[in-house]
Amino acid sequence: MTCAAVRKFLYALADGQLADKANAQVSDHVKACSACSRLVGEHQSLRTALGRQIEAVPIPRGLEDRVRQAITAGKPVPRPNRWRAILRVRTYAAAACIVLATLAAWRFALPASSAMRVGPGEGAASAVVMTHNMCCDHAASHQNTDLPKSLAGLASAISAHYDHIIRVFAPDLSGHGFAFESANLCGVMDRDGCHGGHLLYAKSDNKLTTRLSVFSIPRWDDLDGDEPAPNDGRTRQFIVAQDTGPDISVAVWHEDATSFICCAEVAPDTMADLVKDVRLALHDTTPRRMLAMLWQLP
Amino acid sequence: MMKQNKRTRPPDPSVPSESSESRKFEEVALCHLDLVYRIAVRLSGNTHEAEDLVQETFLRAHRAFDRFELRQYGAKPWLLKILHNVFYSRRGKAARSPLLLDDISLDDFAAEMERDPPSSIAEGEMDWDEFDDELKTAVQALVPEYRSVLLLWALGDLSYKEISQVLDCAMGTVMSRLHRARQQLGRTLSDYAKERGIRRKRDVNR
Repeated sequence: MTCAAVRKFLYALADGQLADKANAQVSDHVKACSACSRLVGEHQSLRTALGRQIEAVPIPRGLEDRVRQAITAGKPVPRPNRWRAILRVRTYAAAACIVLATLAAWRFALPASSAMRVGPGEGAASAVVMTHNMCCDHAASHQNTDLPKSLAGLASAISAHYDHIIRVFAPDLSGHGFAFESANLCGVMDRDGCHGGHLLYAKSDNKLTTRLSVFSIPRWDDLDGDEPAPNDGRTRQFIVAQDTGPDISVAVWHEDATSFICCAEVAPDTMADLVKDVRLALHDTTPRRMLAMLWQLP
Repeated sequence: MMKQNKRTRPPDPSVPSESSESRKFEEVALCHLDLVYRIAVRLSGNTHEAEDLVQETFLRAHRAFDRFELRQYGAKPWLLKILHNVFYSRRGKAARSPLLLDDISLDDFAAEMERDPPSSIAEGEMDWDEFDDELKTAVQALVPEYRSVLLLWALGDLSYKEISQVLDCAMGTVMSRLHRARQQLGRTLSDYAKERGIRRKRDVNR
């Protein structure tokens, strides 16, 4: 058999779908022909690569429970709704989330060598990474266009400019190549009380986009790993391993009732630099100035 | 006239029939949950739609379970078929590619392969690890009908016949779509391959 004759059977051969008679003839040719055998090999390795990509999809927490509940209820069960968290804190929560109430003193980030290593799926830092990854997956629609109910009582000027307010308060990280992309109110791990501000920044080069999350949530001491949390505002860093993909850096610091978290697929040293600027930006904005800006809207 | 009961033996009176049904459903169908979800994610391109698809799939499967004959038809292809029906019905007729409605016979497929024979993606051996992101993007960029075939094929344990049953089309259509999907991937990826240069993998014993 010639290459031309064999060609239409190559894929079927590679996939084990040929009937025996045809199989023998075609595989005899392939064994002797380097061009055809390379095509077969490539076909098989593509199959393996795609199969691996399917296998690599992580299963969301609680999926099986929700499917079981749906079956019992006879209708679909709502997914955990991270993207429209109900704001439980007081009126100025949106601003308060992002801006510190008072900041007496703050420490610089710990050097990268003291970052704690965390395995995939382990601990609070991994829960942060999971939210970060899920938000990045739909970055294009991450921006929340709904207004939290508790802000509805504010002047309509503020409600109309909700997005504008967030953008104004978002730390400027352009010096690191990160541009502010969107803001939402997201939850970490579906925990009650772990919903708060989530800013997403994006940095693109060479067709690859890296995203950085800045969260501000009600205080979550679990983020300290094994060590108890000293109340000194110091930054803790983690390196969270992933089943597929590079490590993700997470940095955390607490200020009174708020925990701030930065999360991105960057090296620990880069994260340390980013955190310095994020903390500096937040340090600069006081509630007084913030309130003044709120009422200066056109 | 009474309808024939499909069960070959009477239900065990000591066990409430509902719970034995749900145990069976669990053994036969629910065990494939992870796989169905993973395919749903790669098919729809987003995790939220995927979860909706999966819930709907298993709801329908559960409702239809007493009509399902395991011996005739594997549970996995059955579930994947429901998943695809849900996916395409949600997307509506508008989403179906107008060019792909006709079934393709094996002869047509053979003719197609003559006209447009398989070609290699890269000069050297393709290092798929390096093109992981590009591969994902390229698969996402395919028309859904091509993507379906590629994903079902990639699972590795469905025959062309089973794929044709899942997608409710002729076998020639499966083979043709697989070929076209692969050609399209190849065109997209060979650009990347040329750009980046090819790394040769270490020789593996064949």
